[in-house]
Amino acid sequence: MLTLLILIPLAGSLVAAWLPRAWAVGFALATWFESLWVLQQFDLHTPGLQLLEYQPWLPQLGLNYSLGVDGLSLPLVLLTSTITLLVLWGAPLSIPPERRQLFNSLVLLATSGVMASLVAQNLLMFLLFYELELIPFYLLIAVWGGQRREYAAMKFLIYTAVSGILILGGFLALGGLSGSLNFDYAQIHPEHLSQRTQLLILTLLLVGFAIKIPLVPFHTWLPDAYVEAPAPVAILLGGVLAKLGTYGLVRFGLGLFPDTWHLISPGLAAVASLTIIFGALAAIAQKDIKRMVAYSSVGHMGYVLLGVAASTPLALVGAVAQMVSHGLVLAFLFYLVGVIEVKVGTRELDVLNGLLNPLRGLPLTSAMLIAGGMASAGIPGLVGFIPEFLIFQGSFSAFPIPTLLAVLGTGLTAVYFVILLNRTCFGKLDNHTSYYPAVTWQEHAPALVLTGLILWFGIQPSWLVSWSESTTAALIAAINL
Amino acid sequence: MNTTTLLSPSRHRFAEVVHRLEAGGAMLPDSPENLMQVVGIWKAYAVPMDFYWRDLLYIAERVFLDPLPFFKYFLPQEYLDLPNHYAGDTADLRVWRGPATAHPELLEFMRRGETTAMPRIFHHWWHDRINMEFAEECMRAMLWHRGLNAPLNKFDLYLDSPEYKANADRAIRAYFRGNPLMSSLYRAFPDLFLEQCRQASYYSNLGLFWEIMAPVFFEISDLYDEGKITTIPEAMNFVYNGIFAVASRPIYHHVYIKGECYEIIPKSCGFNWLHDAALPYVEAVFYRTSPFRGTKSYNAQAGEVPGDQKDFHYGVLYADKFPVGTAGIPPTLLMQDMYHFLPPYLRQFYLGRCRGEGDILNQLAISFQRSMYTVTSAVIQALRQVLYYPLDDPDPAHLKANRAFFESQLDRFCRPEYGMDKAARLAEIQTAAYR
Amino acid sequence: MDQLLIQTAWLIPLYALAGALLSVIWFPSITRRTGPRPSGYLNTLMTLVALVHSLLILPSVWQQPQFFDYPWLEVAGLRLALPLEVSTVTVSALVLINGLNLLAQVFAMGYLELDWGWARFFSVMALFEAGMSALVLCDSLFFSYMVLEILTLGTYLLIGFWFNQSLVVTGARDAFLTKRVGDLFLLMGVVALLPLAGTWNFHELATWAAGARVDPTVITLVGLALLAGPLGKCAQFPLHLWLDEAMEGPIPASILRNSVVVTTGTWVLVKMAPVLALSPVVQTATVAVGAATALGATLIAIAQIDAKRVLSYSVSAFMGLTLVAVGTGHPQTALLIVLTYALGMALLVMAVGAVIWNSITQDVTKLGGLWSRRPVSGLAFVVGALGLVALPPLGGFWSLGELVQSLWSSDPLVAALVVLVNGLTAFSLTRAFSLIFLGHPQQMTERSPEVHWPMAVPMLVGLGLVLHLPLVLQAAGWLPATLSLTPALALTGATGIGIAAGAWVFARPGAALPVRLGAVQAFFAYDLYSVKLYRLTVVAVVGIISRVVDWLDRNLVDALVNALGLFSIISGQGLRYTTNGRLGFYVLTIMGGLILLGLYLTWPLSGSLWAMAPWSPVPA
Repeated sequence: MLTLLILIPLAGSLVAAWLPRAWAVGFALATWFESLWVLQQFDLHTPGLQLLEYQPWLPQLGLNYSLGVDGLSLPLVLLTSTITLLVLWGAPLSIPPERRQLFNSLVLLATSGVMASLVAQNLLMFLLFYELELIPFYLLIAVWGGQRREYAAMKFLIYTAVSGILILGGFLALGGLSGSLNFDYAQIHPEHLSQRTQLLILTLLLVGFAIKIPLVPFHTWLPDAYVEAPAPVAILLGGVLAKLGTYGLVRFGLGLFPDTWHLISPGLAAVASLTIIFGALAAIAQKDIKRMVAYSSVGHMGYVLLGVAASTPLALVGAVAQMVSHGLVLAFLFYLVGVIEVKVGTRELDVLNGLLNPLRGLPLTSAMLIAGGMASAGIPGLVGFIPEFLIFQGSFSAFPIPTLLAVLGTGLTAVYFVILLNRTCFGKLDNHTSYYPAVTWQEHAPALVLTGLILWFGIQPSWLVSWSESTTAALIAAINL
Repeated sequence: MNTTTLLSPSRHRFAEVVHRLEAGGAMLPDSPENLMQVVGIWKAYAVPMDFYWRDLLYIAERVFLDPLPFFKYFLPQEYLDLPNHYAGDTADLRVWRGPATAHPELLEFMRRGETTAMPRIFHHWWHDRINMEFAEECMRAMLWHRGLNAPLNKFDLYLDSPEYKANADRAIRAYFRGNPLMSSLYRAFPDLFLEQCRQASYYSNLGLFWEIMAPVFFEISDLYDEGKITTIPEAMNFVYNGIFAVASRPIYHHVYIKGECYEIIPKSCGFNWLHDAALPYVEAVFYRTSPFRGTKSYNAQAGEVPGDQKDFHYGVLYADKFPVGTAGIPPTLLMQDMYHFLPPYLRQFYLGRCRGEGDILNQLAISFQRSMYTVTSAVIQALRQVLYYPLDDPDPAHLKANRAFFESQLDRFCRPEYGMDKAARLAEIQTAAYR
Repeated sequence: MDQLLIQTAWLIPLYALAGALLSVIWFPSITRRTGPRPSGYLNTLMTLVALVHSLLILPSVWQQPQFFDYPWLEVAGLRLALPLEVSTVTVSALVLINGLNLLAQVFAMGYLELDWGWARFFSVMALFEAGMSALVLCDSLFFSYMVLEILTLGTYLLIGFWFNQSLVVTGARDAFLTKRVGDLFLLMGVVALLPLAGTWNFHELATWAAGARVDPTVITLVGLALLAGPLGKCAQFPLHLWLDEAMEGPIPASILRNSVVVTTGTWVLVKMAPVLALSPVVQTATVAVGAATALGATLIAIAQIDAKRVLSYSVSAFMGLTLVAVGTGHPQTALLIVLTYALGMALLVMAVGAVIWNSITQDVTKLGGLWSRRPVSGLAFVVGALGLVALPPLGGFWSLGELVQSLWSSDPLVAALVVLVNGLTAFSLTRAFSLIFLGHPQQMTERSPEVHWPMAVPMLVGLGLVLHLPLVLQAAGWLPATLSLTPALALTGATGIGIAAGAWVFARPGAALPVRLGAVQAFFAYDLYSVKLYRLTVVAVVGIISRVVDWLDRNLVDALVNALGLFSIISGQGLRYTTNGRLGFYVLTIMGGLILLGLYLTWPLSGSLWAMAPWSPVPA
């Protein structure tokens, strides 16, 4: 039952505020099992919505409680439940014991909201949760963040709220102009609107989601938010929340405006390659490893956009797979950076050195950081490669130049990750300062799970791409009608 | 005491250390914690050393020029029972009160290792054994470095003498008798085998050197356990007195081929322990050795490896101990050997700080560095005694000469070439925070 | 039984991979109480198993290639199946790879006997073996590309073995990035080729290329991209710098790298030869780059004082010759050169490694006088060198002879260049030999006994292999059918002149050493100043642009978007609240309001929540 995906974490959030951490992890685990159950019930060969639920809510507003999953939302549901579980499991590393219950509660609340947005089949319901989401995230940054947390949290709140306003405008226009007072996806038929109107609405939505993803030049809230947020929150922001932007773009952009999509896709492809190159170049200049990883996220969301813009079956499958891959890799990297920050006490590239030392460094963390960096740089055998490759192969025929620029972007990705790895992992430990505490197995565990996933999906990518194949094929077929 | 009143304070960078040496102390400050580390690590060092010297002699005397010495680390019972000349009832000079045969902890380790009792070959394959490779590396350092303790060191020059060549030739011929392949190879490339023979002579040299050091360290450890050594200077002085007691011990190289003894370097040549083994050893191993491939580039154009052997400074006094356990750091082998034999009090001490078991190799490496600064102090005091004046000499001119000597020794840790001043760990060992 | 072994050929890369994974057990942070050496024994054993397996199937597949196909990924019309080709050439390549890795690993047991990093070292060596075995077996450009990328990562890890050392750190970085540049061009080529050819399988590509009609501009661009990948692997101008820096890694790794890892580039080029042949521009470019590198790198080699780098530039030079062979349409000759070269170079690296192991310095001007005391290393060097250059009857003579003969009439200039490079290489190696082994001992070589058996035995085996290679070539029928006299004489003559000149300059009694040629020497000794050139161009440009982007991002984009947005006022207000501590109050207000709103909105729903179960599905 999809409702459980929303209810379990919601209930968990109420319970976890008062009870020990084990309860929070338990609820996250239950959510995870529920998402596996959804996967088990899901028929991979059916392109349309499955496991539907429907209940009128405020019919006079056109708001209905309407749920369903398809190949687009399923991978993200699985990603969200997995990352939530890992975040709550690994949180003690970065979150001090006082007020940890509140933290757990807010994380579960946020998960509930994300789940609701992902399975919602009603525009207003999507938007409601999309906005409600902001409160837990705002608090998570503002309470547990770094030195400039209030600035970062407020910036995040304002940017994302504006994103919401733009999207709301788009949705209202859609509902109003298409003459139905029902905001269920199935009831929205913008194809009757004039192309000009369609384009206008699409642009509103596009900018709204572009802020959320974020795309250059709407990305400047991201480095502040990701860097100021504590590692677990950064993982949620980058691994889960950012996906709502690309998800919305595919669902409401490509999905609702198949006729108009080709008009904006060349521009989108250009923005995508700009985002990729810009993110990578900005990352090269960073001196703070967390900021570097944050910028890497900017660049990597560009690949998703490129695939969506190209809108060929291969590219779109790649784009959906890239969302998952990026979520896993980013969560992995932020977690490891968090470990380093806690153990070494700094994130400065110029201070860090020699962590690969097997006895006095953080050898396993460093080794995993190498794996994470390489996965992010798209080395085959790791999760990052096949999605990027599918996007490149799928987009090349549609947009050859942006695709080649994107390939160049992976080269630049390698540059900053090698800089990061060289400074952080290689080199010698300083004799005067390097008495770092060891990382315990408990602290390693979430990263080890992610390592397993990153390797597994790298070696066996069919698992990653098969989820979305029929749905994306249907979406593309609608465009090419 | 009297130096401080007769001379104005030293203005050396390590003035404090100079004053300590002048007062009969060591380069390592005296503290109970330092003493425990130093004595404990000497004990842990002496057990594998008991294996080293026996195996070195075994290789020098029996394995000799075997081209495929697969079993050179498999010490026969004969060599495990070989009586140490400075321990047991048969001793020439009884330094240690314990037995003359191999140390019981060593025998127990060879039997069980860190795993379980199994045939020796499996311990070997599982790398559950003493790392003889490091002892051989020390030998190679002594062989390769030229002009060690010149001109007092006559041993090294003797290896190029016609007399040595004649002795070696006799032994090599005897060794390969009945082996036409090796005999003809010897005829084709006599220098190939002569050079190997020189190396074997250094095996013997180092083996004979360590034969003495092991009982010295065992005895200090026993005295410490009995409460008879309570300060660093006392520990240092025990080594110091030991040096003088055994200084004239002969250094030789005998080879046993088919039951017959070939004296490649006979005892009658008169090479002695102090000048032909101990001082060259200190210079080659404590100061020089060779750059660790894991930390220095061998690229000729980078110029990181000095062009002159005199400028080599990669011994234990200069070594960075934090990378121990990493690739390319040879002393790790020694640290691992000592790790098996830590006295319980020292193990407890390590477990309670830093990462405990996790970085115990680094911790004991740093203790080892402290202990070797103490041994070097004993050597410096001995040299001062031989070359200069007593510490309580009333003549200020003599004290000045002593001071100049001490300062010149400490200057070796202050040279800026190749970053030697930064590499030397003399400043670090003055504090307890370096661990 | 034979068929079973052939069908399980896919196991050959997996043996090594299993060893690589199991080695993790002996990482020093995992196994603490005992040492890491079992990882070395295990991996060497795995290599031996792989070698035996390859040797067993070699007779059965002789002239009878078999193909296998393993499905991997099928998505949105793209079918990626792993095709394997088990044939004479691929299995011979397996034998070469596994055999040389076996020698390198045994050598490592001696060379690295004092090293505590065995587990990591042998594990990465095994990764290389697995990768290269997979590369030669797989019959697909796509999978070749994947393997090459993984090997690029392997290079980073292998050069980074001694990661405490600062030049190792930069060397690993530069090697990774240089190779990655090549890889990414290759990726562009891979992506662009599929729409044209419809396949990535090499033998299907050959069929396609035979009858292809394609836009010359497009195929030229694709061909150039496909060429760029191998350029990085083969350390060709301008992607050659990494090999010099890779010499910071341990010698046993260099044995494998210098002899076979670099030839992975040639291998892919040979496989792609039919596609490259579609564009004359690409062919010309291949020859031009190869020829320039062959000549330039040989001259650089002559000016090196570092023993390992003398050899590493010869590596680039010989890889250049293989490029010339492919570019002029003689891919089989390229493979023959690879074979004779790999054995000779492996032997040379082992010889040099044995010397520097206990003579410490790598500076050839500080060595000397080792011949009589170190004949094993000396003979290994001599035989390796003679096997490398063209001197009858050894291997290099036949492979280079075949190349020169085939170019003699069609491209006389290129043929002359090959002859010249051969002569200069002979000169360079004679120089190195004279400086290391002849003359008088210097301080660093006064006490220099021959190395122990783990290093000596691989040298002797390698020596035997190089000496017997011509017989093997003859038995396999790989010797050139005919070799006309003029090219043979030209090559042999060049070798002779090179050796004689080298001996005259560097080994003549009373030779004025060291030889100094001022600026010219410095120009070549510092690798045509290409390090500086790169630092001033590519590195500087990326550095500056990234800093500009960062500045723009901090100062312009942020401000602009903040200012231009509809929310500039809100944002200004909001951000000001953060300074006076009223923030919490505002957030609480917003939250309270939202919760009330939520309660109001969910009120009608909550009733039905309790009332109804199961949930009614949506009416269609």
